[in-house]
Amino acid sequence: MTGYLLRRLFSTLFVLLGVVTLTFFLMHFTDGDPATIIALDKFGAQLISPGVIRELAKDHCLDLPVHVQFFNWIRLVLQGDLGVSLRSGMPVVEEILLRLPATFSLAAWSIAVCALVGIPVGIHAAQGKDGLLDRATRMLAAVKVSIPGFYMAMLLIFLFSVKLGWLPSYGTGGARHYILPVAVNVIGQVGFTVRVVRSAMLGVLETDYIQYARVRGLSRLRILYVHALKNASIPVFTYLSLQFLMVMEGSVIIETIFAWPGVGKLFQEAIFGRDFTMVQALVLFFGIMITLVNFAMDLFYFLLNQKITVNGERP
Amino acid sequence: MKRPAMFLILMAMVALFAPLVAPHDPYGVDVSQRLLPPCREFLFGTDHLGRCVLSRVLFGARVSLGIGCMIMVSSLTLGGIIGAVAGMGNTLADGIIMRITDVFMAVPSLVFALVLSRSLGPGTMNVILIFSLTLWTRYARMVRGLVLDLRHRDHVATAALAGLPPGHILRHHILPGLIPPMAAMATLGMGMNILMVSSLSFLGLGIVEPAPDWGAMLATGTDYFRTAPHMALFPGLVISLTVLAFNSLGDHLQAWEINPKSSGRPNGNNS
Repeated sequence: MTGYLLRRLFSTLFVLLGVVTLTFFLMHFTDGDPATIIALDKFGAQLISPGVIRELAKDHCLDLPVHVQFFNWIRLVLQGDLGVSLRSGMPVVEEILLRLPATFSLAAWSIAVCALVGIPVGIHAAQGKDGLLDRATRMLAAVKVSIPGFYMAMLLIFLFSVKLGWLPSYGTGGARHYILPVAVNVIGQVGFTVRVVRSAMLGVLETDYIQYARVRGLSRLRILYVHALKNASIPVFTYLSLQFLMVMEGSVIIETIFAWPGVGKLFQEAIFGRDFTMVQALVLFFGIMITLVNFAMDLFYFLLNQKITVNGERP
Repeated sequence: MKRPAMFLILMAMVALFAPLVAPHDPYGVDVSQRLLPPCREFLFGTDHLGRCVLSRVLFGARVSLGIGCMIMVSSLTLGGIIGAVAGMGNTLADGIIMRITDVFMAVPSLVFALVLSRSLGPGTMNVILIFSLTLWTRYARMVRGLVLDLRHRDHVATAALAGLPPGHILRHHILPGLIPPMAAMATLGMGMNILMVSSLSFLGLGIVEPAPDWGAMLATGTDYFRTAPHMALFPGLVISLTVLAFNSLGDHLQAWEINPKSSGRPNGNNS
């Protein structure tokens, strides 16, 4: 058991190191010459000369051999020092932390609304197999993976902001600003939530202890929401963390459309502003976050499994 | 099974015969007729340069399906080779290859693609290259899993015992078993490719004007949708329908493969 945990920890560390390496090579071999970019940013196109670029390269240790630069990079990452943004002059880590709450709150609201709608509907759908509700949610799930998120966003903005004028179409400022971006995320994912809850519930509802609860004469709602849901919660929880990752991945598009001041928008700005250090830091941030969430999910499973094994008195 | 397949065949026909069915020149700029709403002359209206949106959507089938196909072929080949090597190799090689795959999977595809395309620049060939480099991971994982599974089947184990070289086993005993699941995966992949390319185009780094790519049209249309919603509406609708068709066909293929006797309906309990 601990062997598994150690193996998993080791491979997570390997992947984290890999992400750091990948980021380094991605930035150093593709995004043009960093020194030139920095020079352009600092002095503008008229004033740069090869001499200036060389000097800047020296200042930023960019003239060193690649492997030295690479080890420098790893050292800086370990120290949490990813440099300053070429656009704002702020330390990138600080700026990312400043933007993170907006992304997280959007993600949290999306997941919460999805769960609030999806779980009851999923439980209900599990009762009548192949009913109307079942077909409707199946369709919603299919539609989700087919409509580009920004198209959906555009349709909603057109309807609710342009035509009806009910909701603001971009920016932040209050609860009303959350409605459209959250709606895009929820429409995108609630179909899946329902499918996952439904299939988890179907599995649980066939077990003996649910039959026993029925025989005991417990109320239908009590059986569904207390007894069955508790055991159906593992796949549902997994799904919710996957959903968190999906929302994070989709943040670049959603935040760009709604001018939402989160890390997705920050990434888009950095890409178009040629903000070398910021792009580098954000690629690293996304990679590390996804790896850690995956690891946390595995850890959660491991602990849960152990509990099941111990309580069930299986060897 | 029938409806999505029919739709895709129709789309393929449109792509092939676009010059015959398109009512106007998809590149024909006429600024005096810009942003016309749908009418008899222009069924889908005209765009900001006065080009016929319907004709561009029809020609777009060539561009978008073509690019989707090319990405699918190249990422499937790349991922397939990597996955097969991992699946056929020993535990150490398998472990290293799969951890590297994990590294690539850890960075969101779109983030990866944006970084690459910022340095390579937009354009058809670059888009194909970029997505081949980002989307191979899921194929590698799947092929590895399938190869590992097939390797332990009796007929393959027997072939190995008989002393046949691994290359021969791979070609004659494992590859045939890979084709059906890969066909389903490729169909589902087509939908994803079209969505990915359109997302990149939306951010301004995908397919660029004047190529009539659906994603690029939708992206341009979003700049005008307050005044001329038809410009984005129709390309978006065609993208959604096409991706939906690819996805449901892929689901059917997957269900059919698990249980060939089923009517081809996706398995309700597990989907």
